[in-house]
Amino acid sequence: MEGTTRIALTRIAQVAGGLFAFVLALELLKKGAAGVAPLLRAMDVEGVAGGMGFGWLMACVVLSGSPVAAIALTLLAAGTLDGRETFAMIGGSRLGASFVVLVIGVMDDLRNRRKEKKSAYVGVTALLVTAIVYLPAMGLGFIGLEHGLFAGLRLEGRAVASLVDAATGPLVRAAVAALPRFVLFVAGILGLLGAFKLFDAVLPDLQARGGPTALAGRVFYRPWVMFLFGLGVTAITLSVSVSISILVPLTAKGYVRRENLFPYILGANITTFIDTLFAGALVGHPEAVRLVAVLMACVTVLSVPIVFLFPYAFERAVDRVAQTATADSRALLLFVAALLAVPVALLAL
Amino acid sequence: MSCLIYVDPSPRGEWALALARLLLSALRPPLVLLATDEDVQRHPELLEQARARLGRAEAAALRHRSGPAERAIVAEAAEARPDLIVVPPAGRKAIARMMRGSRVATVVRKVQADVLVARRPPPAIRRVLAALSGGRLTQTVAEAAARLAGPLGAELLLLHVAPEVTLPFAHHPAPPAPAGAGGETDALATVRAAAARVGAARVEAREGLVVEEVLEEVEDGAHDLLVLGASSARAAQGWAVEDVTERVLLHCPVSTLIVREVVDRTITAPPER
Repeated sequence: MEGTTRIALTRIAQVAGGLFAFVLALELLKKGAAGVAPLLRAMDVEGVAGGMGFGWLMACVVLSGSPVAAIALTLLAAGTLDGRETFAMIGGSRLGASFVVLVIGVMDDLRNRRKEKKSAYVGVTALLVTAIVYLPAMGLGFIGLEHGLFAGLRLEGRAVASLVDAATGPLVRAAVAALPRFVLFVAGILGLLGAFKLFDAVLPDLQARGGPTALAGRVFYRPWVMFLFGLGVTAITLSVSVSISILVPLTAKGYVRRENLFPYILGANITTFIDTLFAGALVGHPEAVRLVAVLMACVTVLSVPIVFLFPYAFERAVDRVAQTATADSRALLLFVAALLAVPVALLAL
Repeated sequence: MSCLIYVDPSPRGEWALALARLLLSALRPPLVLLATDEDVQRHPELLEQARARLGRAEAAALRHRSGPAERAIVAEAAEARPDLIVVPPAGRKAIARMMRGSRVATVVRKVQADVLVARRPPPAIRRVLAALSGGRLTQTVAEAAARLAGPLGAELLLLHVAPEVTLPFAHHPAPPAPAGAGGETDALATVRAAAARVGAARVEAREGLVVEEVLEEVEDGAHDLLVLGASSARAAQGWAVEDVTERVLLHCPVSTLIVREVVDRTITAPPER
């Protein structure tokens, strides 16, 4: 009993610490955003293509999409990026996060000297599913933004602003006084990564748990069931890559049926924005939450018909491409290299 | 000890009769020919013509029940308890199937017998494919396939599709339950053991989506008959679990035998000596 109480208290402390780190990091990023403006100009981060390419590359650097989406919102709040660029950067961060899953999959296969690229297959599937949904969703989102979609949705978190200021104000002011802006920005990034690490640590040990997801390596679930699992698990973990990694202990043996993979990723790709919505409410820009909500809505609108109307045709198409891309080392290398070139090309546009 | 054949007045009904002649001629089991009341009213000679077509006047009982077909078959199966039911598909297109369901899927779900779904039969059955998961029905399905292929002199291929992929991020990634040498999985080892028990059947292993790979092998290998195990009760009744057998069945271009776990195999078993 004592042990249980200690674990519960530790987790509460971790959640509180994670929230504090998250809020503090956002404040530091906002204050330091002006310091990265010269860097962004030097990298040609301008316009939709630039925003998307930057979001993609940055997700590769920090190995996650969620912190990059939050960073995009702080850059919006600081006036460093405009609404369209921020929107594109958030979308790019998702593609970059999926690319990270692919790279980790490739490395996993190399490390284990697997002839069949079974881990890379998961990465290719994650990236394909994300790209197929996100690219049109972003296009749809731009149209929605221009036509005033969710124009009334302006959560600025004023209610919590004074609380945030009370909690982080002295620290932020001291940091602003002592550190150059660029360093503040970097400290903010590290703070965000630390916050997500703390949130991950709070997740219960699922290794020993049963439940339906534990059978995802053996049982062939209906697509909408895995879609709901993906939605649910990622709503808790906040990150698609973490959500996919959560499947590892859940499936106990570290493998999953191909058929269960794509709907899970589709669901995960929607609720991964929950923390970004939260960040949008905290950064204090009237458009921040709206941008995230529009992208989230567009991704949902495109994902739902895939899962409910033509899941098998979609599954077949994705599997065919993923099988081709992972057929041998050369094909996989070409695929990864081509995809690595995409964000660079976007930045160069 | 009986075989129930559903007699459909459409051209698909002829498929069922032709396939029954092809597969059951050596075994000559007692037959029940079933039609719906509505079809018999429209075509009074339907059942007699079917019996003549089979050339089994002495051993074919004629029955009719109120339709639709699936209801009649399920009711007759519950009463007569046949070992095998031969049924042609209703030929419903996607929307009709969405509205009314699939005849063959309904029959497979609701009866306790093996079900042979009859599609346009070839002149002779030369190649039989058995798709095996390596699960509890593996041996039963392999044996049923071997019993059909043997008397026909058909070539038998046992196919196992491995759908698993390894998740990245795993600290100790493990392939699905490795067993034996050569990195073979337990499931594939079970399939090979079943192949050894039924004789000289070939075994092929594929990786990919189960439904797609099975259907691809049916086409690529020009197989004349597919043999599958019935879905588990969980898949057949569970709202969350996909019924793989049903999906293969609905899309398979050739006749398909669905083998059940607990059936008195007097039809598909070899005749007693």
